[in-house]
Amino acid sequence: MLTQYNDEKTMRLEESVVSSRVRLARNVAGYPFPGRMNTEQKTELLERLEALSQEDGFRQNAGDLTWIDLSTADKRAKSLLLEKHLISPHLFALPKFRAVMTGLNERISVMINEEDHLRIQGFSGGYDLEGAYIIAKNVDQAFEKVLEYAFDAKKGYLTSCPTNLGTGLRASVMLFLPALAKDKQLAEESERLSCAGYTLRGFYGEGTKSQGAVFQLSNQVTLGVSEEEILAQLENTAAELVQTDWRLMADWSPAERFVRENQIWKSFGLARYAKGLTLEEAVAITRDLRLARRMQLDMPLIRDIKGFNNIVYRMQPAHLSIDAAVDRTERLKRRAILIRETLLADE
Amino acid sequence: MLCGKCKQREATVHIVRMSGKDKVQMDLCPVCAEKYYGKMKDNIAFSQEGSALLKAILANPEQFGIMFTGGADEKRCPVCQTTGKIIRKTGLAGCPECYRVFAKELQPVIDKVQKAGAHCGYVPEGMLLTLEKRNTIQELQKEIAELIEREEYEDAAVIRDKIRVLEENDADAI
Repeated sequence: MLTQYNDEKTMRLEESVVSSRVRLARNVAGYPFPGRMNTEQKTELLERLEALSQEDGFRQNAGDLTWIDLSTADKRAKSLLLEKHLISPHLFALPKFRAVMTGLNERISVMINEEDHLRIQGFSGGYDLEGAYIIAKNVDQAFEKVLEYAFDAKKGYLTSCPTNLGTGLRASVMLFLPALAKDKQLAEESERLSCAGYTLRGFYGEGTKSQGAVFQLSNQVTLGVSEEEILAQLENTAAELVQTDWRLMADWSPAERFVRENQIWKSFGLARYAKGLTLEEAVAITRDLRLARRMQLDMPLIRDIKGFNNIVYRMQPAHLSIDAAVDRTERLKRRAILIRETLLADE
Repeated sequence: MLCGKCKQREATVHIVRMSGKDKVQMDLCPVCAEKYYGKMKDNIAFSQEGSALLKAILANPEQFGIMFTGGADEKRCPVCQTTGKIIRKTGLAGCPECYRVFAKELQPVIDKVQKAGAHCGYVPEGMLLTLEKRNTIQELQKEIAELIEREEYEDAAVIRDKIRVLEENDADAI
């Protein structure tokens, strides 16, 4: 049985939002921002925060968070953190004097000494910005009790980059937009959104081109709006985009429909019979399997869309090497098995 | 001078751009200049994040009607030693104090990349207390001044002790 929904709008959103994320940028008063800190200051802040993370009072408020010193973590561990978005490419590339705290089944991460002293991130699967915000806010408030933040009544939280001032809040949703991805309207939409204070970009690959038809939509404006407004407006904007995408799909010509269906069946064949798959191939397959479900084609369809969202992470190189350092051939094989088993489980 | 691009029309627009460490000067006719700005605008519209927009603004402030000149490059924050030049290059402030030191230069940039005006979101709990405490102390100080004027020194001393307690608590909190 496919998932049951209360109304069409919710159904479309739940089908299209892959994940939600909220990030809060915070700095500790009394230090320069990380870009202008000297070695002693970086070390001092790191030690102070590590000690803090062990304190009972803090742990009671923030929950159990694991401290990972990135300067001593091995490459595989770091790659895994990167693929899960728990750390940024910036932290991955320059791990010295940097750390990350994670917890709540990896639904929370606190990057230390990134562009700001603290980058608190809350994650949630599917359409759940509020859930992601609550997770991040909880840890933020735990820090707030024991640290003095750099804060200004007019400019709000003081951040390294002026684009994060005010709330320091950047919210983003990953959207599956298969119709818009191949439509000339995409450029128009991106520009319109940019003018309205949002950023839409491809999740895989460069710029607005998106192989997996998954896009990241996030707010640009952080000052002069409240946290609740940012979240509510982003939700509205996401809902509009999703509606546009479904409308475009409904307008496909028979020829366009054939092209898509043909592509889906090809992917289905690959998913079922391939002995090895590259990441690029796997991305295309997940896109097509998702689309098949949306088009309600007469074929084995994914039943658990929320579970399927995890595949995005699990098919990446470091995830496929979790138990052991495996070579490329082994990864190709493992990826093919992962996709095939997910599909078979649903057949 | 002829336009560097079409080499046909007279160059009336002169653009100086930083390309890495090099200064690139372009002399363009109005037609080519408009095309150039159009392209720039597109690039900005498709910028991946707000910080990219910010960097574009800081690289070419005049194009956005922002003046980042008049010795701003040489100005230095007394706390973190960051100069205006560094801010313009990185797009990042050096420390909280920079926002005060470079207020004149940064405010127009903030107005461009942000919506408007003042913070209207969450205020940290500790901050609320500090603000409240500061207000209380100010009121008590006024009271002391009045009492001293009326030569009621004993009462003034009581209030002075109250302020001391408040201030000591503040130090503990930090």
